[in-house]
Amino acid sequence: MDSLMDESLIQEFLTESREHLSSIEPDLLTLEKDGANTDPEIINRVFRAIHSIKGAAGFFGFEALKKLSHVMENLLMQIREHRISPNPAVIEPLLLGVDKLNLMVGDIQNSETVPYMDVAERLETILANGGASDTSAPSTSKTSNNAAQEPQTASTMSGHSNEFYAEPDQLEGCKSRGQSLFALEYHTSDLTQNQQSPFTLMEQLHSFGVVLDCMWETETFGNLETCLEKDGTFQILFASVLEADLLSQALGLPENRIKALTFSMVGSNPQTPPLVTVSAASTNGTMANAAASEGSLKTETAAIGSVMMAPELPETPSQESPRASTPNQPPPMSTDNSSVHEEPKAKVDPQPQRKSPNPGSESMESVRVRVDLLNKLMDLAGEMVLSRNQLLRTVSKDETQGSGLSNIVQNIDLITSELQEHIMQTRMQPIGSVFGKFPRVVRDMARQLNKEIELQMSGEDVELDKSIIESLSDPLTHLIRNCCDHALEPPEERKKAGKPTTGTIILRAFHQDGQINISITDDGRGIDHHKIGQKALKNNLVTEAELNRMSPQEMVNLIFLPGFSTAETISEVSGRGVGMDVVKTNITKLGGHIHTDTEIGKGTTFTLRLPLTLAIIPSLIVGVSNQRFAMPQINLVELVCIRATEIASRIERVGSASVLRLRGKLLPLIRLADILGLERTYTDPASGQPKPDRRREIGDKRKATEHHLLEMLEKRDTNRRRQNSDYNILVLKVGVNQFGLIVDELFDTEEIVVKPLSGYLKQCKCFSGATIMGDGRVAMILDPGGILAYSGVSLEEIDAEKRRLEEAQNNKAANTTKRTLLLFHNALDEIFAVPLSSILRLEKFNMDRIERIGHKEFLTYYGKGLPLIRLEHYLSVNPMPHTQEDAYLIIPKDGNGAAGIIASRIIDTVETDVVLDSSLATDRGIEGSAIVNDHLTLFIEPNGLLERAGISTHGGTHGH
Amino acid sequence: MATRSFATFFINDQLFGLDILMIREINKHLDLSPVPHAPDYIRGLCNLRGQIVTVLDLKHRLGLGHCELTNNSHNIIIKTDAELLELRNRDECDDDTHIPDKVSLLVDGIGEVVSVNDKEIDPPPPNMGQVDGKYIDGVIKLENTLLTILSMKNVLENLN
Repeated sequence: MDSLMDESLIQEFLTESREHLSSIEPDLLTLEKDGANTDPEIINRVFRAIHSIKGAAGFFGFEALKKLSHVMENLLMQIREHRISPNPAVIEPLLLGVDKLNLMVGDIQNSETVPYMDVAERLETILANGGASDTSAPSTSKTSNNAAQEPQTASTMSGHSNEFYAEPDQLEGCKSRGQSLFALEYHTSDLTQNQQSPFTLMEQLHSFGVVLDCMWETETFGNLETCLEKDGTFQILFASVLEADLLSQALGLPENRIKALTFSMVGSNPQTPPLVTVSAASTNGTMANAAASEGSLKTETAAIGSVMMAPELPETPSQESPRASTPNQPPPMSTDNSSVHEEPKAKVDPQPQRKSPNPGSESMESVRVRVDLLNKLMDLAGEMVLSRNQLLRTVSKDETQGSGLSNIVQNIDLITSELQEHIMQTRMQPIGSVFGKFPRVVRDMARQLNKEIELQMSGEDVELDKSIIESLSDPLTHLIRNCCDHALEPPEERKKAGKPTTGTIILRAFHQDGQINISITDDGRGIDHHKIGQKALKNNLVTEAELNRMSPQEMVNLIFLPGFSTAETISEVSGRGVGMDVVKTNITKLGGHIHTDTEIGKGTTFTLRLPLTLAIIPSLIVGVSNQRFAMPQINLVELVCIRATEIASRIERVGSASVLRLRGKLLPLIRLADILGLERTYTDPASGQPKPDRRREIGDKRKATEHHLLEMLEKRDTNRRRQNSDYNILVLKVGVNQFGLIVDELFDTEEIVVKPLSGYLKQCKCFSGATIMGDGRVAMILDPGGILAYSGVSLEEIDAEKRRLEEAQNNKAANTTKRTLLLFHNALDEIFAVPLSSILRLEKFNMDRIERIGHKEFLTYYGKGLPLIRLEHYLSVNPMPHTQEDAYLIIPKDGNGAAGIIASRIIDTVETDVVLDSSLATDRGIEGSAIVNDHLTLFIEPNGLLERAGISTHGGTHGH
Repeated sequence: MATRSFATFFINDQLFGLDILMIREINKHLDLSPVPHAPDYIRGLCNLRGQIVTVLDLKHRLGLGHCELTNNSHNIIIKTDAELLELRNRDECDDDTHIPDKVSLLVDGIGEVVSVNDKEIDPPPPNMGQVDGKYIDGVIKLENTLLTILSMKNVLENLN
């Protein structure tokens, strides 16, 4: 028997069942929403789906699956007949049933162990109560329901129609080969006596003719495991050139169980009365034979073409009555051959019917392909791309003119790209397959939490790599559950806050910048960053000092820390031990990011950004010690190049680590060569040879200065060399942390095909995989997280330093200002400074252009008279030399460009954090003095100066 | 009596053999990319028509020092579990070494294929030269030399 229980058949069944089940759920939800007004097609669709699961489950002998789907089918039948209205109380157990079926299908071998009786009983109760008024024999017992519903099913669904059916083509074929049709009746005892399996029987039959159809009552046989133990009969429609008596001998079957049929008898209308007897007519003279040998069957005239073979099967009496009562039975078919062939088609295959209501969604033909085949294709496409790259490289190297080779290569290039793109597409699946389950999740959550929640979805057709889709399901579910549970308020609370009582969750998927964005927006209470901060503090995830320095955004991001859970008590609903940290980890694993946007009282948006596919990733190729490595661009924040001359000033040491000052932040630096234990090199542009790098410590100023001197010397030989001594720093992101990775060389970005690391290299934590480069060599793919961990750089230490710096800065803030200053002369022996940030414009002008009105000086500037301020007029400083032909005009932002300060010469701009000495700030217009670049410098305060000159700092001038 | 064929190769001047059923191919793909942090016996990775192969230094594995790359150096690519599946299912290969990933052995030079009767294979001595006996499955006396049959299992498994 087992040989027939073909594993692949079961797999096919499971796949189909899963598809059915996934389609049922949304339909049930629609049914619940629309109630009695639901499109009948939707009810039919659910019904058919459950029905086919039931049928196949019965065939394979999955009892639990069969029984549960059977009850569900019965209930659906009542809904379809409008005897029970699809209110939530009815839909709920159906949904639960779908869940159970999913469980069973998910692990079919253990499907019998899934407890389903509670659900089944609920369904039965509804059936009993709801259907009481019109069922002739109302009963809560399963069997009677079974009996009451089954026949209708059979007659409408064609699943168990008691008649033969064969493809018209097949029949034509038999006819043309001169074969006659026979109905063979076998008893299971025949098989056991002859020690035959159904399979060997089929083989035997096939040696004498063609088996066109086979019929048995699945209800009788139960399942295939035990069917041979029960006594039952089955009928075979058989075509053979042999005549009945010869056939009897050949098959060892008594002649009275062989009935000759005409071609016109086969394939008929399903609505014909079930108890019609076989009408045997023969075209080759076996009619008498058949009629004579037929005891229990009545013979009718050959003019009636219907062949119904049911009667001998042991049937429960209850099955007959409803069937007999089926109204509108059409008259028997005519003998016309052609009509016989065409008629059954419509009913035999329910598929087309099922598809027709949704022509849009299923208009494209599709085939099922094994995933491993797709993966293989994907691999091959990747390799093809690599080979193409090699080809391009080789051909461009020795470009042979006029050989036409480059054209061919160009073609191959294009085709390969397209090929790869399309093969990638085969792995793409619409994200709707994940979204699809959320209406149910939200509905269940809403009921459980007594909230009103509406879920809006868009972008279900956005496609993503299959593997990403699969791993997205859990994080998204978690986020949605969180929204329902924590974010959205109960209706009363919403009312008080002036919001609609129904909370809304918007789930969107869309493309942006070559990535997929998925956003989950709720209009709930938002995330209170103070609460989050306090909670994190309580759980010892952060220190008070750390918390104080955090921006609200940073505090909100604390929810992604492991060990963080804001729910006071772990709720049944979303607190299942899976925290947001897992969400974050999962998304990061996929090469994605998660961003939180929240406003207290208004709601929260989580945005996930994901790559389209995992298999091919854009990467930056970097070089260390003549080896190349790939750094996935997803980890790359920016590239920073520190000129050799700036190394000393921008890189410093904190504890054991070197850090780079980058826009006021401290970035720990790691040297890739050191991490990998390779010699640092730089390529000597003159010889093209890699040379060892002489610098030993990244942030060692003394040595860096030495190096700097060395470079100054080298610079005399070649200026180009200098560039290679610069630091190339990749700023990388690992979770919330960033660090800089110093590499020796930067190459291009390349699309690389990721190959997993072999098991022999599992201990190399600095790599996430390997790839084959355009030149055919293997390169390792760097893993920033692994590198950071391996480096042992203590981020805490850096953080501490960052804090210390900030604190120092805060303390000094009163009298220290780190700012960029413009240094200038008025009299050539005095130096003045004005903050660059306070300057609107800086212009050079000829002193001859100065016009005077009284003792006031003006410059025609953009058609207006711009009042000029000489420092010596307002401050006790020396005048500028009179010999000066050109001077500079400093127009401060204060007064909105209403006046200009004259400077005789601009010295430089400097960045300093000097402490101002206010002892010289006796006059308004002077902020103080300080030593800048070894010179006493007077700091000008433009605002005060302008006021002293009688110029309104709020725009416009006061005439004196 | 079953006949077995061995692919033979040299480490230094000593002749070693591996069952030819376990070998996918022998080539001179010696353009190896070293892997930082990898154990010493891993020489690097090479590209075998788009597949990445981990190359083991067999000499180092046998405790005989490091393999120098010369013109005679060869790379012996071992079949993976997936490639051996069919043979194993047909019981034509009784070696059950776990070989999940593509791996190859770097050797100093290659010899001929030697076919011998099962009974000509002698049990291994405690050690052969400086090679630990655990790496040796057996010894075959050839006309003028000894062929040491390596134990695939002990060479490839428990590397750490």
